[in-house]
Amino acid sequence: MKTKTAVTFKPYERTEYAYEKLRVCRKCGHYTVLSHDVCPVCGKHALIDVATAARREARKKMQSELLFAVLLTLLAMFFADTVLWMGISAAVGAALTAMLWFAQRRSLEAQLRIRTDRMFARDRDRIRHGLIQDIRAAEARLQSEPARAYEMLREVGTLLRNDPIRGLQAELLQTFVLRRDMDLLLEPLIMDGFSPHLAGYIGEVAKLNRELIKESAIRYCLRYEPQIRNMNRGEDILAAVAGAAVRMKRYIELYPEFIRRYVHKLPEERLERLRDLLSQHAGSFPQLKLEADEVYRMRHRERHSHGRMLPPRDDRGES
Amino acid sequence: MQSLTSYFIYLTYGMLGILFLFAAIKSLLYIRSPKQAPSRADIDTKLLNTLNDRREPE
Repeated sequence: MKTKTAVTFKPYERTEYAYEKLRVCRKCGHYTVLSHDVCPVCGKHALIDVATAARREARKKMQSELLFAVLLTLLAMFFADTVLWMGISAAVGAALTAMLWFAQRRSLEAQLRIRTDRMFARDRDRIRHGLIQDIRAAEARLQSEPARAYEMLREVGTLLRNDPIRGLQAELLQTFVLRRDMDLLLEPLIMDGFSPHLAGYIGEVAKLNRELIKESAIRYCLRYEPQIRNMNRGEDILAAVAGAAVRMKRYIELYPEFIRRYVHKLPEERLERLRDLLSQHAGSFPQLKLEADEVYRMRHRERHSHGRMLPPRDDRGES
Repeated sequence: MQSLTSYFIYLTYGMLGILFLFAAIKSLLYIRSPKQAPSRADIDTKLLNTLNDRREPE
């Protein structure tokens, strides 16, 4: 068994939209999600976010249009044969240019979105190429700085969502000593195929921070339940996930059978939580209730026969 | 020379006409653009679909 290394991660910066992670170089047009400042290709301090790039493009186009309008006004004034027509040309030109400027100002936000959309359509291959370069940069650090490599893959994974990248992240995470205070992610790592690394990671997360176990993680465990059971301590992983699922009534409603299969392995406070929730909904999930009561009675009997006290319940604050 | 300068006024008309059409069409397009602009969520979904080779919903 490989020894795990103690590491620290930078907190993951969450953005409302994935594309907000992208930055583009003003000089060479290279896209990246890794650097905030220096372009990894040309080395210049010229990286800007896509919103700024779109704003620059939109402004440039609008300014060209205004310049064209001013030029036409000046030409009209130049060719006017009387002072009156010169004045008329100047007034009409100024009014039309002002109208155009006002329309531009009013639609600036919409124009930014249109520009961003067009920019992505135009630079599709360049963005993909930039992200592949980012993956290569992360792969180059896999041995020397695995924590940094994970952070890099985590950033790339925001935009490139595929199993190899998720698998690599799960594999790296399995080499680290995970702590509760770490900014761990689970949802973005859920893969389409089975990965023992991911299953192991889910099991650890379920013990460290059960709030991270959501529907996708439970469904993953359900889909690959036989494979996980065949893993070393696979049942513990599934029991940890079932224990985390017990925190919400919704999960009990959705996956009663899954939880029932691992009731016998639930820790005391999880079992009590389950029984609490089930007692609030008498008549629902009879099989699950039966199993939970049976396991509780069995443990209670054992405890009495060994003369032990009930452990304190420390998890009352859940919904 | 006199006849040539008298033609220049037509150029002024022409310039003002072009300016009017240009400003009117562009302003109209700008005013209509908020309805046609994709939302930020749409842009995000489209980019993710493109990068991950998923087909866009029709």
